[in-house]
Amino acid sequence: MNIISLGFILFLLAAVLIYYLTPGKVQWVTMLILSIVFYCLAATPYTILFLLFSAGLAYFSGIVMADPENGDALNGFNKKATAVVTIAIVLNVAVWFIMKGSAYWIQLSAWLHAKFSVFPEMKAVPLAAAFGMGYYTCQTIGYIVDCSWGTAKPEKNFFKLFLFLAFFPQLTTGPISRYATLSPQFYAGAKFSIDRIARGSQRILWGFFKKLVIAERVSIVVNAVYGDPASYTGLWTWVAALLYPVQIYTDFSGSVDVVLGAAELFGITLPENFNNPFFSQTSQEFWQRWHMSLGNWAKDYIMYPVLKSKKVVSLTKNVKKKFGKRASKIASLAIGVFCTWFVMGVWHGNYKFIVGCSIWYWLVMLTYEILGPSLSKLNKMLHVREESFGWITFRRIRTYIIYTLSMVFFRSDGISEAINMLKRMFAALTPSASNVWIFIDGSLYKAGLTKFDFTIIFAGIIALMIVAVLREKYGYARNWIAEQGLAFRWIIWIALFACVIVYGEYGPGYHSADFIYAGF
Amino acid sequence: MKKAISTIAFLLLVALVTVSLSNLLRDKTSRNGKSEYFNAKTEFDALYFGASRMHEAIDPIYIWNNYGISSYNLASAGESIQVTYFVVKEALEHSDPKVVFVDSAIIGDVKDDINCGYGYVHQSIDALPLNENKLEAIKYAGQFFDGGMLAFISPLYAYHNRYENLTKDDFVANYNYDKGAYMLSTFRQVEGISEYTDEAETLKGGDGTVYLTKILDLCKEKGIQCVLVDVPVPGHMFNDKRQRRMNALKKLTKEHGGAYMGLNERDADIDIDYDYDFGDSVHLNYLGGNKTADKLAEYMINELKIEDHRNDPVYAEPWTEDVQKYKVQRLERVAEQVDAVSYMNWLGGEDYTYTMYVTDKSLLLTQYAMDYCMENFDIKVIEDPEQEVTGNYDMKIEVRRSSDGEFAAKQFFQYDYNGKIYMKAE
Repeated sequence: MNIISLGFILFLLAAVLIYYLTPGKVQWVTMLILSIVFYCLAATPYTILFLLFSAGLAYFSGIVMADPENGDALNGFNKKATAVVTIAIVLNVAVWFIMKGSAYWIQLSAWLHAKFSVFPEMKAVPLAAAFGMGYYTCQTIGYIVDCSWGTAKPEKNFFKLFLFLAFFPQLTTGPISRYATLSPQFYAGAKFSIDRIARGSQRILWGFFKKLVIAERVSIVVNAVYGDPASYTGLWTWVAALLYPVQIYTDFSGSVDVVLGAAELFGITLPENFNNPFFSQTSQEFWQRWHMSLGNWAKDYIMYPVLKSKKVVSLTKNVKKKFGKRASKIASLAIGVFCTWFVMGVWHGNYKFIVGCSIWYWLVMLTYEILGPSLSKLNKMLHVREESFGWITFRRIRTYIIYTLSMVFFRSDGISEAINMLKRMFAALTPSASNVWIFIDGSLYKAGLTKFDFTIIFAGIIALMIVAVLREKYGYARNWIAEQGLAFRWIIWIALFACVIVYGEYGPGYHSADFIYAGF
Repeated sequence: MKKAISTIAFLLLVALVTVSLSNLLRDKTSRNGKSEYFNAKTEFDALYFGASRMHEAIDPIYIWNNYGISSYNLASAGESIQVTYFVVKEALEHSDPKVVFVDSAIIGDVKDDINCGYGYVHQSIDALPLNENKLEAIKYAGQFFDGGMLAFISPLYAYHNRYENLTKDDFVANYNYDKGAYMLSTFRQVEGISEYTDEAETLKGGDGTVYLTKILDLCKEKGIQCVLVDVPVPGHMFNDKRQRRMNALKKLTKEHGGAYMGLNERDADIDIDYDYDFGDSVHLNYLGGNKTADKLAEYMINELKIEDHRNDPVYAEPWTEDVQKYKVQRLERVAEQVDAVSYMNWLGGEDYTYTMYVTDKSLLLTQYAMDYCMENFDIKVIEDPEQEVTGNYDMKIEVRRSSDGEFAAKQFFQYDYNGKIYMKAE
């Protein structure tokens, strides 16, 4: 079941009704049953066994690590905990690697087989892909590590732990939740409130708008250009490349809005995944505002442990002694960022992400760290006012373009296709290849979108920007709208609803693209 | 309490907006063409069903004017026989005709195949009242298209993206008064039929033949004569494969108590002129259509003894009123015709006289079928090389009512030297 569908809305309606008819104390049981039903409707039912396996590992690890006296986590590492944590994580990652990371070993074996025929060519496991495995594997690992660190109390009830992993709104596109913040919310006993239902619905509606009105529309032109390089030459490559971040943002954040809004209907607050990423002035800031739950997860469970490890600490100390404080800072950043980015790239499940995301952003951030002080000096010399609107806008555009180039790898079928696309993009900037007229002679409207479609996209982007500004100021645009008079509020929400049902790309003759982030 | 009331008010408003948008955006083809039938108070002697070949061939108003037979055309473009079955079933709940003519155009013989496009199904069934039969139709059609039943139940789901194609007709109800027919006034020269075969293919019992049988059985059950009509087509459409299919369907129809009217057959007693009787490469125009209508009327009078109702006030009063409305509407829509010949043919020669102001008289007869107009209509041609009357155009046609000489319409045309045709000037 796609979460941007009528089926999901009907499921949610039924779920809300059943949930609030259940007494507060056992609402979590209702939610668990609803989640299992959703899983069976949305995915190949038997793949729930993977989820059960992951939950079982987490449960067993927690029990082993629990203090026999009071049930709390044993504070700090001991041999037993280390062994359990290691085995559980390895098993979880192994299952993930076999199922979701199959591209790595399939492609590698194909490459080796082509070079040296003695290597066998491996094929994918003949099992259906597990639903949401990328997300719940992270949550499982987070829980196990938290227990071992003593920051989470091991759960004694397997079903409660299972609910933390299987909570249905987050199964499709995340966000990646933490046990300590999510789990207690299931037992708080939510009471029915019209305000809560309204706020949750508002967020769901906004998610539908982003996904159906903007993302799906933009995808038409992006798919046309990527799908037919012979016809779409020159600046077409830039049209697609620059629009793709809009598509992926509205697609991913739109689906996350639906997830967060759906959770809100049940009185459950999930972590935010986006915080106006395109307002970022640097790539580092960008990744603190984009896919935040994955970034934070990688930071907490990968970067910090690596930086705190004995070997890295002694290494940076040595660098400090030999080359000074700044070199040590760069070295520690290089190691930390590399590990974080490597894991984040690998999580996406294909070599192209390791190149396009991990290596690219590692280089970008390292370059920025190395050249940063010199650039600041240069700015001072040139009397650049760093707080001026123009300079801030320049930095935002620069961050956007860096992301655009990275996303060429994300969108392309493979590494060589991405490099090809980048070559074509840069070739298009030469005067002889730059077909500027496509923006004037109406060619732009021959890639599947009409002039009116482009107007809708443009208006949609303006709406996104207004909401982003309101969000910076009021926490949520919804907070600001809620403060307005009744007529204004009703007009806003009804107009948004009308836009979704009229301008949304759905229905016959239209094949809804899967969520870009639903495959992980 | 206050909150509950305001929530209900808000939800009602949302529902109102949804319904309004749904009505605005839905395709009106089916409603405009068929609503008149489902709301009609008159009785019908005959009904015509099927795809575009029937839709564009049989003009119930022509049949009424010439034979006094009350009938309605419920055919619809691209309609496969499976969909026709549901339309027939519904139509027979609303009147009690003596005969049902069914088009043989789209009768596939493949299992689990609807054999027609999604939009066509909408045009066929949208106007049917929502009841068990329509839901059955939706259930059947739903299995072949994305969105399933929802694609036919919710007009918004199906048509929400029509926002760029809305016209005045979407805002103001504009029902057709042509009794369901869609007569072409264009001309197209086509090839005739050159070879015939008497052999028949072996039917495999695909969905199309199953539903044809259902129609025949339904009519038999209700005591209504069902006639499968193979409407005249150009030669290229009546190839060997098609003829074998038709011969097989003819046999099937007769086995189930129906009659078969093969108007493309070697011995078909119909004088089709392949130079002038077609409106495009597939369909008859109104000249060919009226010849077909004559055959159907002949069958109704001779075989079924259907009487002329022109002197029966129960029939004649509503029909006279409807014919009048139809004439007014035709005049209103004449400007939609794109070339000079179809412009004049749309109105016909009975009620109007035409004055043509042309810059060059010698170009006149270069347009295909203009000679037909010149011979059959009351036309006065005035050569006006200085364009004093026509202005910047190559031709102006002025239409007056024959009865009183009152001005009725006018239109400007430009001569397209490549196509040798007078096209409507923008």
